[in-house]
Amino acid sequence: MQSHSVTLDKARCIGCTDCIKRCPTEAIRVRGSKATIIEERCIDCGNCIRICRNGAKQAVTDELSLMNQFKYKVVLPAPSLYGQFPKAPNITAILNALYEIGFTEVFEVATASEMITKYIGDYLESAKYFPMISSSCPVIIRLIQRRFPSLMQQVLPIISPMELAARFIKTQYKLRKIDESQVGVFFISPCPAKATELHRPKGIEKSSVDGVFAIQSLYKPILNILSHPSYKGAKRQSGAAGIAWAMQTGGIDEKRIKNHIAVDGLDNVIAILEKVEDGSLNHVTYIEALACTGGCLGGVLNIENAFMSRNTLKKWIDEEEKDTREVLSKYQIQLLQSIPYLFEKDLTPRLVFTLDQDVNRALEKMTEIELLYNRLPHIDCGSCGAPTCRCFAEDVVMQKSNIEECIFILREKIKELSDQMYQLTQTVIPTDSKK
Amino acid sequence: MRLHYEVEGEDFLRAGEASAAVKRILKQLGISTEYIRKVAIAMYEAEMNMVIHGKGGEIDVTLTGEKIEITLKDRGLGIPDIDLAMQEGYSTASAQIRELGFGAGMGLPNIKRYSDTLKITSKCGEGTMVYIEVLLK
Repeated sequence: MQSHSVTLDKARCIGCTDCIKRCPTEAIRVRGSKATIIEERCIDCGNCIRICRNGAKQAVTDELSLMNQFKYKVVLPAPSLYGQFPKAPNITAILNALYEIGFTEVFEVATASEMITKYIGDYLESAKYFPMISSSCPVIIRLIQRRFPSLMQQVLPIISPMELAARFIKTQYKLRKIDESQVGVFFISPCPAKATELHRPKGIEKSSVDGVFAIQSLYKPILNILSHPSYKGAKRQSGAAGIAWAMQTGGIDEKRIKNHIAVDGLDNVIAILEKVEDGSLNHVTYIEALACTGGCLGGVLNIENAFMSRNTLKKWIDEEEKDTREVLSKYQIQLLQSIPYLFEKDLTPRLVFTLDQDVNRALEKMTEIELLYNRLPHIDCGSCGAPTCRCFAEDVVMQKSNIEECIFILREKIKELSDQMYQLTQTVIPTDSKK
Repeated sequence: MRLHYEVEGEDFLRAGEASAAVKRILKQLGISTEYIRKVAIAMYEAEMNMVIHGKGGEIDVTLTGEKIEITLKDRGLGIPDIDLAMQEGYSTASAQIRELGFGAGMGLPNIKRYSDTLKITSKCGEGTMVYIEVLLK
């Protein structure tokens, strides 16, 4: 089982230092002129995929053919999918295309999102810690586990809309007495982190999703069908509010949650989480944090630019608001409401930055790091393969790098050596008559 | 281990950098999260005081596995009545500073709440020295 969805294509990597600098958890080093990802640090944010100009960083998602293993092929499109097709006549046309591709049922994740929005509002009314932080973006959970472990109790213990939708579908089929092994539930994802979520779910024992397809891999098939559609049976299940989840502030019920912050883009999220840690945001009720700029529309597996797709999605939301949509049946709504949505287990910190289990030994190492860091040039050139001089100092003390891998230190040592050699040339040789 | 930071007065862009650096170090030392939180809040408040009221100054940190001692010396006007300054809601911050979201009069009370020892010495015209100790075990 593969553990991460962001991987490296060694053949394409030229060993530049673009990606190492953009990684929010300092999880990449260049070794032997190839980038390597430190698995336990990676949070699957996809920043490196976004930045790599050689396409060497790739997201691993499932092949479409996976659905053929199941008799019932249920697909859960993320609302961001809709934003990729500005020329589609409406969302229903996109859902129709999914049926034509071969899925036997389409269930909009946005429907589950609407439920989750309600659950968030309910939870906040009796929360113990403030501000609470949204848990729907898996990258944010992974980030908090690694960089902000003190905030873990503030992560909303509520499953993602994807998971709720998948549980709902599985329950429905179970009630129809259909064997679970025949039902495949697939998520169409804007980001690699959702694919990782399958193999390493957070807060729950096991994900109900069987496979994750990249929006990219469905883009062309859907586009082709949209120009010659034939299937017409798809029914909409979600409304405008659910679709808005793909964008910033999407998961916030403005009427219920008064004092909130909606933050997107990892750098911004990190800055806000630092403030939470410093206690300067205690007056805020809720923080919706999304790793990608522009929310899920900014995910690396999308085709369309996030600001373009936002425009498209907005158009549909406006139409939706005046539209009469085909909603779920009363029975379906009751069933959806009966699905458990709280985390089944606590999140655990992933202390990937800890220098040593023993505090005193960690202190010794830290002192060594500070001393070494002061000898380095502080220009963060990246030639050593580490993102910053500080990070390099840590690597050296942790015996993962050699100090001579810093070109400035190397030059110093060469100079010392050449000075010594020059001194040796000055030695007077007793039998030498030339001098 | 010892750490030293220089803090500029009224430099709001860089304000909080020293506490952020200390926080990062504590995480790397594997100090448990409840203590990191205490240090983060107490030190951040004290550092902000230096930036807002103290015209900047110096921070010295001494760190062992058992405790962290943070000494902040500012270049401000000093605090004439420390007991009054310790009261919740008391603030001398200007309207302009309050606009920025500071000056709620919770700085010193918060430092006291999140530290194990707090000593403040101040002479009018000579600045203020704040000593914060947080036990890490």
